[in-house]
Amino acid sequence: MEEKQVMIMGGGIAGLTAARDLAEFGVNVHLIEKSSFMGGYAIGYTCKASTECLQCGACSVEKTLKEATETPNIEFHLSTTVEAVSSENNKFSAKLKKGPFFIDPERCNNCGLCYEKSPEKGAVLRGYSKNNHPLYAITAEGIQSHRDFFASVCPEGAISVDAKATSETLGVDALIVATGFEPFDPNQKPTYRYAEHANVITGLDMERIKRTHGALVRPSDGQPPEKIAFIQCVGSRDERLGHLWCSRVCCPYALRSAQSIKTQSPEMDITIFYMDIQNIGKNFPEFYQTCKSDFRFIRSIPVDIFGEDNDRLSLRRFDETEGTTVMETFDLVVLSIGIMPNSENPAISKLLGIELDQDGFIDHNDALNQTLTSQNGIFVAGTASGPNSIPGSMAQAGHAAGEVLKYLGVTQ
Amino acid sequence: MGEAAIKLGGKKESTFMDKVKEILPDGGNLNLCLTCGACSSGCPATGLEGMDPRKFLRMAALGLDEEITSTPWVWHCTMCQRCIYVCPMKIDIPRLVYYARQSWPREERPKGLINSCDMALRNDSCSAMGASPDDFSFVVEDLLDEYREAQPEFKDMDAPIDKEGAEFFLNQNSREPVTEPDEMVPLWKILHSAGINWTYGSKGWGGENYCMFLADDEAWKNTVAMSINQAKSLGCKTYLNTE
Repeated sequence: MEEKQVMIMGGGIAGLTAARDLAEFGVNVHLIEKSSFMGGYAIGYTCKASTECLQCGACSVEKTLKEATETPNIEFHLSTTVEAVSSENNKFSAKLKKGPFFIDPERCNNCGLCYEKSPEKGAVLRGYSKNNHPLYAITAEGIQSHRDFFASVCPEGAISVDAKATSETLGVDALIVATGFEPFDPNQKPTYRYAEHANVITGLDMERIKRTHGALVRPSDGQPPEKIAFIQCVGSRDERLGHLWCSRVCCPYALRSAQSIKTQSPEMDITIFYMDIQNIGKNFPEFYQTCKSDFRFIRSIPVDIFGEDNDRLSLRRFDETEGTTVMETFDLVVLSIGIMPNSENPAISKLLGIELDQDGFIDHNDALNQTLTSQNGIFVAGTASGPNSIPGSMAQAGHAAGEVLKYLGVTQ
Repeated sequence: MGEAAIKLGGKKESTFMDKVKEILPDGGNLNLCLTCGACSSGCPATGLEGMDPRKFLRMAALGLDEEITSTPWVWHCTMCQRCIYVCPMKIDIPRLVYYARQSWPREERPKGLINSCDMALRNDSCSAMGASPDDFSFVVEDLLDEYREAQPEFKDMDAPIDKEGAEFFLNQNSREPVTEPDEMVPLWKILHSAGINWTYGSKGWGGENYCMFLADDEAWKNTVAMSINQAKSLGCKTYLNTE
């Protein structure tokens, strides 16, 4: 049988899982990732274990990335976008724009000198995982502004400041869309003043802070907070914004993070402001009961956050037992932002001729098979099709890979 | 053969909230409440008269029409619309409050609002303080002369009334011409310095809109129509509501 070729758009956890599963069956996979690193958002998430594993799935991203990089029949296309796709006789032809790659992966030994010595923050990006190679990427803007520096900094001669973008055309038999989600922009809820208060952060910011500092600290002074508030449903279940869906991951990530923080710092005072808790899933209702004894749950969504001395934050909220508003001060406020459709979905829909659902996620053609799009031979996996957790995305990606194998006739 | 099925209850009586839903576009989303409390967290009138927006909406949803249409809380509401602004479900609580106000017999509504609305209906000014068109013209012209003379850098400043073809039509809270005339001048100076072509109207210049706060639709329509028609008859392109 001739070798089958599959292109996967998106190198996050869904794309990596589908790639690994397909490769196991001898399929050649082209994994397309527009950023400089594989792993998507999920590779940046931290382990949320307390005294025991809380099954957040963060470690499985690292594991899957490692497995995928060790699989010979997966070709990684980093910094690559799909410019055009055409199809004929069940074959797809995809035109790719690749690079420019300023760092030669053959020569780079990930020493990090370019990153450490970079004259400008943000000119060199660093991946989250050691399974990313190269672990560093230089932006086009960085090269333009500091050409001489980059031309001379690398002792291995791995940096080429004159690198240009190239084109490549792939012929493939099937396609998986695993282009992921976008985190909600909290500036769309202006009374929280996210842009104004350093210590109002999102769930995603919290992950990044924990990654960088090894613990949750206040952005304003790098000190650990003593009193934290989580506000749930920020950007989800919102008719005003046209986001009626529940993002499904925010309750689990907030509660698991809170529990993990509490385990590290038992004195931490944690409050969860919520409208209701999505305590679905195996063991989660039980876990929720534990949480209830460890932190305060207040069923009221605060609206206003005011700055106080020492970058502390005062929240105004309705107190339903008193029937009045009360003010309470916190060191740090975490906005549990939700999962939004990728803003490129309309373009992806046009590129591939696949339909979006009313919320803007990639639609599935069959209510009972959420991996099929409206185009034959094009499949969808992960949060591209709607909110999902890491384990949920992996399960759906595995299902999509299975459907692709059937479609290609590799399996029955 | 079994017994006939037992029917529970009778036909549901139409409640106050059902009636309001019929009036509002999309029913004002009145039945979408997630009871999250954001409205009450953000409302300046929360806790007054033992009421808050969430409680008010929930009571309406439960059909407690008598309580809804009799609580004086609706008159503490400033109609600022913050509750609908922060509500994730965009529930039109302000309109529910408005129609609850309307359910009060006019004479039982707050005296201050009744008097101010009645005053606005007294002459073509629509001023809640009862100032007549002539009073207004006199104050504006007198004040303008005074400033032109005292501040030569503003000797060419204008504060026109009924200027045909002005770009902007401005209304004016009547407290200023009646009690604090000097307070009008800073805005004149800004408009003058910016080279704006504007005018007041001799009719409908009063901008307070007390008839709206009184929930007296007919009177509200009269005062707004007076002002808008004046702006139109002068050929103004933009109505600037300074209130």
